[in-house]
Amino acid sequence: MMKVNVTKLMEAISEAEAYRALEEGNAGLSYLYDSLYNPISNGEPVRLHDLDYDRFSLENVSELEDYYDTNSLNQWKASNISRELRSLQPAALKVDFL
Amino acid sequence: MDCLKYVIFLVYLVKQLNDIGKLELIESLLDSPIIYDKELDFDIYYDAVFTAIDNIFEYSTRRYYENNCFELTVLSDKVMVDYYILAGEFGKQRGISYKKNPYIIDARREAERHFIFSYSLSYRIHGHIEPKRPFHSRLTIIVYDEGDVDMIGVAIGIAAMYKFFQNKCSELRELLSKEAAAA
Repeated sequence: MMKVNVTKLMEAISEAEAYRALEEGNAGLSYLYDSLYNPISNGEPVRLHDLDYDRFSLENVSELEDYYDTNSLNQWKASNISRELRSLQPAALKVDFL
Repeated sequence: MDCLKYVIFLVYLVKQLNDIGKLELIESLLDSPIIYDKELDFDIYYDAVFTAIDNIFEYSTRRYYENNCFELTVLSDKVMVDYYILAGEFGKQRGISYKKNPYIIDARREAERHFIFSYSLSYRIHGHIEPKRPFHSRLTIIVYDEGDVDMIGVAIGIAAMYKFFQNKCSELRELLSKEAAAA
């Protein structure tokens, strides 16, 4: 049987980063995030013809890929934790007044 | 692999084509949405990838050898031919042999950087400092059947090689003309 220390679990969740923030001041990466990553993540149609290819560098595209990889990994970890928690069996506690 | 990852790779290739002045090769393909109803349009994706592979270099032939189970893509371009001629001049002026010429070594290293990401992928580079016929200097890409080679990686490598030859030609021309003026 698996036991979970709820206090420790809550502490760990509150300390974890919700998502990897975009690097501040990186105009090229921000442009790619706003014009590509975010619309596609929200299911909006994106035409690559509409991108302004002079507003970002090849390095920015690699940074966006890293960002995507990190977020995908975090999402996978979070869903694993969520699955484990959902599968926990409830256990009755001894209650003194009864 | 998620759709978004494919799109990121494709944007990398399109950006490369933009930087080497060859965006028009695939521009018309980019008019339609690349993701429709949360699904990637693989027709557009692979059309862009193979159009890039076949058209970045001016000379290009692709042939499948059924008996040997591999596909051979042979590429050449004025920018590649010029690179080896200029590299030859650089070597001749300094008395450096072909094998020790830093520009000959650099081109091989650059190709190695881009075409060894799969065991089923190989390359050959033949540079001629005194070409005997048009498109004599050639880059050959070999894709073997048994493995799984991501063809967008090949397209990205080809675009990177083109950019390498383009940049180094300017560098060599400037260097050689400075030296000629100083002499």
